[in-house]
Amino acid sequence: MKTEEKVLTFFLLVIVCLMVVLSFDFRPGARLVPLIIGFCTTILMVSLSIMAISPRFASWYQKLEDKSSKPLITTTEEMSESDRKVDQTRIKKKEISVVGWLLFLTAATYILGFLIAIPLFLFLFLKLWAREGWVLSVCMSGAVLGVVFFIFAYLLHIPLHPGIILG
Amino acid sequence: MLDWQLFFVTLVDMLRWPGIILLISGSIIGMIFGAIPGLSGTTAIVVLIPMTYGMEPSTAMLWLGAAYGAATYGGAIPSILINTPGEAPNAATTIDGFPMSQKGKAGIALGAAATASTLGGVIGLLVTLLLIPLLTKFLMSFSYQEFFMMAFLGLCIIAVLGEGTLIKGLAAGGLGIMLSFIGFDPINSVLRYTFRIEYLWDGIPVVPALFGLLAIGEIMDLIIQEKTIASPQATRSEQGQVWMGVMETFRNIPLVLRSSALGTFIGAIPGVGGTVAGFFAYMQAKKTCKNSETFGQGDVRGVIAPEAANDAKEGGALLPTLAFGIPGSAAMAVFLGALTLHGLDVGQDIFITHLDVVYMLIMAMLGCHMVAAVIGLLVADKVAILTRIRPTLFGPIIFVICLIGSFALRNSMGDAFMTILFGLLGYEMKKFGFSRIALILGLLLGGMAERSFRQVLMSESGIAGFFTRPISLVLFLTILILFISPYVQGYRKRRRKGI
Repeated sequence: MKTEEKVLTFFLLVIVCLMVVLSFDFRPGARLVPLIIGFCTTILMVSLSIMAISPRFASWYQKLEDKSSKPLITTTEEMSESDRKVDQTRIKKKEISVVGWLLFLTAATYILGFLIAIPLFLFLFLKLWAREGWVLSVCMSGAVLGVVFFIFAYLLHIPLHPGIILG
Repeated sequence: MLDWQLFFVTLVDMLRWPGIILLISGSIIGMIFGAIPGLSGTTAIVVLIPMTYGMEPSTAMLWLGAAYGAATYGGAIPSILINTPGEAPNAATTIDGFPMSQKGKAGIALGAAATASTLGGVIGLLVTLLLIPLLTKFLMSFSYQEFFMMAFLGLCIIAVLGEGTLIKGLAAGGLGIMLSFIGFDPINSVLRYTFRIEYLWDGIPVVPALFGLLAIGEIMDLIIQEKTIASPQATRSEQGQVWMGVMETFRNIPLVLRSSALGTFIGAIPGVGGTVAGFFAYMQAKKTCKNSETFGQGDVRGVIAPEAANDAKEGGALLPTLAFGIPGSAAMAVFLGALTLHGLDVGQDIFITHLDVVYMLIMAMLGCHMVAAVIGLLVADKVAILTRIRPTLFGPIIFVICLIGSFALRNSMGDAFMTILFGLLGYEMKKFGFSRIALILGLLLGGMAERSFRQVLMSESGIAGFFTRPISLVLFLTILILFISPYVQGYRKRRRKGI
C-alpha cells in the first residue's frame, strides 16, 4: 500500500472515530443508528488500516476475497525502476499543481467574485498550465464568461457571488 | 392501467415547441459527452442540472433524460473507433468493435451499434412503461421494513460489485451513511455533527457532493494523466457501411431481444449497472449464437448484444429509481438529485402526483434514441473527432461549471466549497479504489435507512418485522448472499488451485 493511500485510510478512520465519539453526546434515539453504522464502519476502517500496516494481512484478505483493488495510477510492468520513479514524481507534481489550481479558483471566486475569477482562472490555466496560445486563451475565457453570464445572470437571474472585495 | 390521456398529452408536449428543441439539443449534448472518454451521460446531466433551475420539472426531465439516454450510444463510437469505451458500460463493445475497425468495417460496427442501441432502449423503456401500473399496486405492500431493506440492499450491491475490494466498497458506503447523519436528526430534530456551523444544519447537500465526487474527480484525473483521447490509429468509417450495419442488426433480431431482456432485468436490480449488463449480454451472445468462434475477432454480433443490453438497462434502472428512490446507477443517483431539486419526491407518490413527469422522462429517453440513431448514422464518423480534444482544454471549463452550478443551487458559497472538497476526496477515492458510487449512495440512502429503521423500532412488530414480512425476508437473504458470495467464490477458487 502506498504512503498516500495509508494517509487517506487513516484520515478516513479518524473522521469515523470522531463521529462515533461525538455520537455518545446525542439523545438515545438520535445516537442509535449513528452508533450502529459508526461501529461497523470503524471496524472496516480499522481492518483497512491494519492492511495498510501489515502486507501479510492485506495479502491474506485479498486471497480470501479473490479480487484485487485496482488503483487508478499504475505504472506499466515494462517500466524500469528509475522510469517508474520519474513517472510517479511527475504525476505527484501534477496532482499538487491541479489541486493548487482548484484552490486558486475557489479563493479567487470567494475574493473577486465569479465574473472576475472565471476568466482569470481560465486564462491563467490555459496560458500557464496548458501552454495554449494568447488568442485561444483569451477567446475561450471570454466565451465561457459570456455563456456563464448569459445563462446564469441574464436568463436565470441568479445573483452571482460578487466577491468579498467588490460585494 | 396506463393513463393514455395523460400519456398522449405528455407526448404532444414533448413534440411541440420548446420540447422538441430540448429533445434534440439534449440528445446532441448527451452524444457528445458520451463520445468523449472520461465524460459520460452522468457528467452531461451534472453539467445540465444548473441550467434547468428555472424550468418546469417535466421540461427539465425531458432535457436531462434526452442527454442521458443518448450518451450510451455516444460512448459506443470511441469504443469502436479507438478501442476506448466512452462510458464504462461500453467496455464490452470494444471486444469486437475495435477489431472490426481494424478490419476496415468500422462503418458496419457503428451502424449496428446505433440500431441495436435504439432497439434495446425502446424495448427496455416499453417494458418499464407497461410495468408501471403493476408496480404501483406492488408498491402499496411496501412498509418501513421493506424500505429499510431496499436501502440496505442498494448499498450492498454497489459495495459488492463496485470499484475496488468489498471491504473498501463497504467502508465507503459506511462513510457516506455517516455523512448523511450530519444536520438535523429526522425524528427528534436533534442537531448532529454540525460543530456549530450553521451551514451544516441542513446536512451535506447531495448535488454539490455529486458534482465534486463524479465530475471534478474525473476531470482532475484526465488532466493529471494527460490522456490523449484520440489515438493516431483511429479508423474513419465509410457512410455506405453504416447501412450494412443497420441491416445486420435486423438480421439478428432474436439476439437483440434476448440482450434487451437481459439488460432490462439487470438494470432493474439497484446498483448493478450497465457494465455488468454489457458483459452479461456479450457472454450470452457468445454462448447462444452459432459459429461463436468468430467472437473477439470482429464479429458484428459482439457489438449488437452489449449495445442492445446497455441501452435496455436504462429502462430497467428507472424502475427502482422512481419507485423506491434506490438509484440503479450513478446517473440515476444524479437523476434523483435533479428530481429532489425540482421538488419531486420519488417513491409511491410520484406515480400518483407527478405521473406526467414520469411519462416525460420515459418518453424523452425513448425519443432521444430515435434522435441519436438518426444523428449517429449520419455523423458517426465525424463525432469521433471530439475525442481528440485535449482534457486541458475542456477540463477547466468543467471545473468552472461545477463551481457555479453548486453555487447557483442555493446561492451559497458553502456549496461551492463543498464541491471542491468532495472533488479532492473523489479523486483520491478513485485513485485508491474506494467506490465513489457507494459513498454517494450512502449519502443518498442513509437518511431513508435511518428513518425507516427508527419507524420500524416504533412499530408494533419491531425488529421481528424484518423477518416475518416475506418481501423484507427475501431482501435480507439476498443481502446475506451478496456478502458471503465473494468469500465463497474465493474459497472455491483456492480449493480448485489446491492452495
